Amino acid sequence: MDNVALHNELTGRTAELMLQAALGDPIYTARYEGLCVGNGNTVVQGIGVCYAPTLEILRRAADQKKNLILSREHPYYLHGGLHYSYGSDGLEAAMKDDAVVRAKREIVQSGRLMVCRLSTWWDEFRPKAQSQALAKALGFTPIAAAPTDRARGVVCNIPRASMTDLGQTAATRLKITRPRVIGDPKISVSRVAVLAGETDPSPALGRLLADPKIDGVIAGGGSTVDEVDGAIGYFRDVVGSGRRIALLAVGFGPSHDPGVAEMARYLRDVFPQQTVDYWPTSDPAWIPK
Amino acid sequence: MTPRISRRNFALAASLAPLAARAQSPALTANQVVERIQQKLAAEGVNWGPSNFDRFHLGDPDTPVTGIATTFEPTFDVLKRALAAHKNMVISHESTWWDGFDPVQVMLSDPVCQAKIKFADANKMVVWRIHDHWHRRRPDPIFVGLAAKLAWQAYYNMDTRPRRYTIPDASLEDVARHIQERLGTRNVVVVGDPAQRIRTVGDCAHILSSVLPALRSCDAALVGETPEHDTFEYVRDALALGQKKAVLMISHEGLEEWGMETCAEWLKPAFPGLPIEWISTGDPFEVPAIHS
Repeated sequence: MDNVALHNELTGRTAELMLQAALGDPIYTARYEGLCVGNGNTVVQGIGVCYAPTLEILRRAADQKKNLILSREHPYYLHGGLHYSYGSDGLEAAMKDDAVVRAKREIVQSGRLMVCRLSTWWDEFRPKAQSQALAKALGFTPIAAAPTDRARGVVCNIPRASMTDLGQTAATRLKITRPRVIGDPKISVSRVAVLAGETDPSPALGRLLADPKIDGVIAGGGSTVDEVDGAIGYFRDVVGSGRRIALLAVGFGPSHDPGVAEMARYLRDVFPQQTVDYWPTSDPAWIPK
Repeated sequence: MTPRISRRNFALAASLAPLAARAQSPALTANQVVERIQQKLAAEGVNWGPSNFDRFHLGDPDTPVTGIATTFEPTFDVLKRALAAHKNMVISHESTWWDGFDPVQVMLSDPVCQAKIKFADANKMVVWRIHDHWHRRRPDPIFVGLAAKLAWQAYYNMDTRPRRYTIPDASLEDVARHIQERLGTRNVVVVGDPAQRIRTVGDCAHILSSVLPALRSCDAALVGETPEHDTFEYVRDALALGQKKAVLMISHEGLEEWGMETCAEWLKPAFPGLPIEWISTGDPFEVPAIHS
């Protein structure tokens, strides 16, 4: 009986419809979004919100019987996205008989878990939410943007600091050990563009940098559109063209996690009858000293 | 009075004759350089064929060439250094216009793009890209170059799929340190247990579907700037499952630029008298010291 919804019980499918009502229609051209794993007719017992539905998070969800996971990333690593045709090509087929994916499927099945992914969907609803949350997590206050501004990036005026100092701030506040800098780490900056996730593709990054006062960028990592790291090369040329500017990369997941915490707060209002937990995702990466 | 031709003067004149003839002959154009490279590749069995990338990307192909600089990516900095070295033809492995498939049309209003074009025009510079055809040589010079840079040639098997190094047993942390030292950068980002023992390292290109074969058959995968949202998360989960796996992420430059160093040496016999050198694009990332 526990898999059959009564008329007043929340199922995964109903939860997805409630998300549509709150966030607007999902972007159907964005691949691998929405309820992507599990049986949507399953009754929701509790909700966990996370950046990545890792194996450990699936285990935790099963243990705590919070069987609806709302995540930014896909449990089987299928990123997709509106602007992303390169990176996931062939991956779905390659994952078909993969041992790691098989183990995750088994946990999903035995724990009657469901994963609903909100990535582009959330970004289309609140384009700046992830970057605003990253800026706040770093201790910065974003400048108010025009209502028509739907770019992802935010701009902050900050107390003048070197990129090395900002790397230390990011390490402390985001609990990372591997900040990296493109450009001179010693230059001091006072007006930074903050971009959760990857930098935009070069044209959009160029538009963000049109403000000549911006002398620093804080992002998750380089753009992975088309050929992996286009925006890294673009940014090198911004520096090479003579502009005094540098970019701090804090890591893709660590840059998104503050925004996921904000998303969890928002989702508590969407599902007032449910417990909605935020499950932080630690950074798995390190650089030898 | 007829000048006296001594044996010494005669020998000097004879030795200078080819140089004089060369001085009088017009310099090769960039187009002619490319034709000669295509012939050289064909002689090795790599016939010129379809490619999304391999063509002129900047400048006039009829420009007389003063010298050639090979490089990984023709960044602004590389163009400036090539000009300073009096080499106006840059032969690059990667893109001039950043996003892989060279969407220069969508970037034409961008000030950085405009500055790059203006710089090349003002200095009669040409950029020609050789990506696919350089990878088509056997063995692939890009990965031969990396093996040499890592001083791992003796451990390398290029005939397996994935290509793999079977190295002396070492911890993951020590392997990462070795890569840092050999590539001259701290930019080696690792996911995995630092104490894990490593014997086999598969090298691979960028995306998770390319990294998977190395992860499945080797202790660690060595990859150039892979998307973190899939590759890092996959390895995290593999570790949580008890698999002893690791990924070592270096920059795209760190993975591939050494193969363009060998390109300069490969070109020299085909262009006697034409100055040719490799210009390092260098690693894009500095890793600042962080206190925990």
